[in-house]
Amino acid sequence: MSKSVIYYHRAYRKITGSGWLFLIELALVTLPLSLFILFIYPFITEQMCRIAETVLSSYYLPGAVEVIRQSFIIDDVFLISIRGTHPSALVSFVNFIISLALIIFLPYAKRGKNIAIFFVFLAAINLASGLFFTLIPLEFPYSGIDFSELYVKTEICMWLFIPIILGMALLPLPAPILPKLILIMFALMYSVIFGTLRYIIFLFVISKLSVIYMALLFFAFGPLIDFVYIVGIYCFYTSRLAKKLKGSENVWKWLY
Amino acid sequence: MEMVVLILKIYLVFTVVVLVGYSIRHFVFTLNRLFFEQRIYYQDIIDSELKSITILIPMHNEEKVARQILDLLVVSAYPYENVGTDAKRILDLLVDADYPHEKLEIIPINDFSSDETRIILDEYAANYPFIKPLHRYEGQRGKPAALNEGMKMAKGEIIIVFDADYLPPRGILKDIAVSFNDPEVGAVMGRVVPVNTRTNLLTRLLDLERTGGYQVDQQARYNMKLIPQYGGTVGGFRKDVVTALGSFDTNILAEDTELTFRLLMKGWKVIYANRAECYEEAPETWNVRSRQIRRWSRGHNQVMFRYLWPLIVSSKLSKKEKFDGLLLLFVYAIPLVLLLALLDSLALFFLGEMQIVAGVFAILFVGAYNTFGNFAPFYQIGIASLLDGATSRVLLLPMLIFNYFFNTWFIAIGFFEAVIDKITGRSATWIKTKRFRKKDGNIIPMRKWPPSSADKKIEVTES
Repeated sequence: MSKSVIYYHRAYRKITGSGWLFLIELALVTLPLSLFILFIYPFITEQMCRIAETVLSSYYLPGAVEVIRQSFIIDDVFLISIRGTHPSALVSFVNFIISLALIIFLPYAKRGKNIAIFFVFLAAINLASGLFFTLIPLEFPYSGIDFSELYVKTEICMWLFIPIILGMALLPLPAPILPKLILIMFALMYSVIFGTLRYIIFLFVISKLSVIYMALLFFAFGPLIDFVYIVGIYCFYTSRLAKKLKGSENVWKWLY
Repeated sequence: MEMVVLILKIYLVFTVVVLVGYSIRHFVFTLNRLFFEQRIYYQDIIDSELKSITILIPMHNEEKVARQILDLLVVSAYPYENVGTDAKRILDLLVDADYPHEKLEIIPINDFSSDETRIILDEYAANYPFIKPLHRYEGQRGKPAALNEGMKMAKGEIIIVFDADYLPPRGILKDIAVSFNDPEVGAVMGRVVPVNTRTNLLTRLLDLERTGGYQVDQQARYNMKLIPQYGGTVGGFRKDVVTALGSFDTNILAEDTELTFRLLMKGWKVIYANRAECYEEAPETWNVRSRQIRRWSRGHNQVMFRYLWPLIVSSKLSKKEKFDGLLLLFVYAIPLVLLLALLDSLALFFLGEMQIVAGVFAILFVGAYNTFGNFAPFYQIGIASLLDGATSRVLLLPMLIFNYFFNTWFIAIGFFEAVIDKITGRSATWIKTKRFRKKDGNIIPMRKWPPSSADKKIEVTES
């Protein structure tokens, strides 16, 4: 047997590039985008709230849903003001019991143990909430508007971080900078659209169902889920790039 | 109450700082592996005087896999015409003899097996003079105890260890053994690659974790002269050194990590051979994986309790090695730190301190645990997959979020077990990882040979 073409073994493959160049690129891409977000977040949150107000208004009495503004970082931020519904003693207790049962029994799941443990995590948050509202419901320190404020401010922080996180992950990849920049902007747009939809759903849940789910919504379906699609966008691009690089002799270097 | 809130806030900030530190560390590893000079291993050394080696294979009820690893090792030593039918089937792929058989000794250690392992080993011993089984039915059970007894029997200067489910490829014995021509090397670790990747989601996700851990993490630590870790299989060490250091501690479940630190404390080098790839069978069910990772956590944390202070005061290690060593020692404690931080943030939430949860810290916290929780952050796994030439498996990266919760849960349990071990001085019981291969099943790795997808481009012509 003879080999006419021998590519570098994967063990010591590397690409040409420079750590310093990467840092410069990172600064050039992430700083303008983050600054851009910093200057337009009042506009984005206002549009987000107007859409949420339009959608939610049909489910509530006139005046129950309104847009307010607060100061945040360097400018005002817009929020939806809405009343949360406190749970009855029975609802609180039922939530507590169901969560407890899930925590006890889910770890014994024979199949899908990873999913089961994830649900244990969700149940643990809801258990804390259920216990709180069963024992000291009047001590609950938040209103619907507090949650609204928490959500919008977290979203702004997320938008500021997306260019940094995705920039750090994407820029070292051996590909032109433009598609990476487009991808980061796509992730930002996705985050704004998805964030608006989620905002409407969250507000609906705490006002129509109960504020008992406030902790669960924030800790399990908030920024955590944002990272799932950020990683999703990254892996989609990396997979496409890997296919493109297959057999490419010019990209891979060896040792030095 | 104000004091409680303050403590809770300080703890949350502390967790964020720790996680950001780990994230930066892994990002530096990623950049180093991708852009910087790669430190080559010793495989280019051509030496007619190869050292004598003894291969130790601890086996407890390994009838499903015993024949396969022995067949593969036999072909490393014997020319084609001298081996049996099973081995010949492998030779069709592996082509030729590799290690001089007069310098090779294989000691499969039957560790209290109740299945057909004993019969299989005796059958091989009858056919091949360099296979010398050790049957153990007395004393302490478990891998460290088995290795200690195997070392007493071993004649080789170098001990190479494989777990029974491994499928060593041609050339790996020489690759591992040749590094011991460097008199400073105390132990060597090769790269572990799952062979049953395509079985289900779990094996695919474990493949991603392994890829990030070896292709980037271990190689970068080797490049940067930090602390590559001896992993207890697909690796070797000097018999006389380890014997002089008191052999393996039978009460430590992570005998590999313990050996790494023991050698480093005595001034020996532990090196990583990314080129020495060996296939393993990854756990195929979450239950088996939970037991495995719990054992790893318990063992690793036992080592952490033992070596934390000696590492800090060691005169044999540089400052950067000590720093990396500390981060390495704490790696199985971090999931518990995160779990406590989650409880902490929940407590802050219900105490009305939403703003600290809402702020930048929340994002850093979530971001860090979404990355670090799987041992290798997503960007590290992405780069590792790219370097491997993998095109599809990287698409599963978002699914690692489920591994995060799973790992956190079972690693935390393992941590508490290690704490109890430390307090009570109780002995740990070795729990073997269940095998999934069909008995007398396919002995040829399911992956294409050679494994790299980029290598598929190699044009092969018959001469």
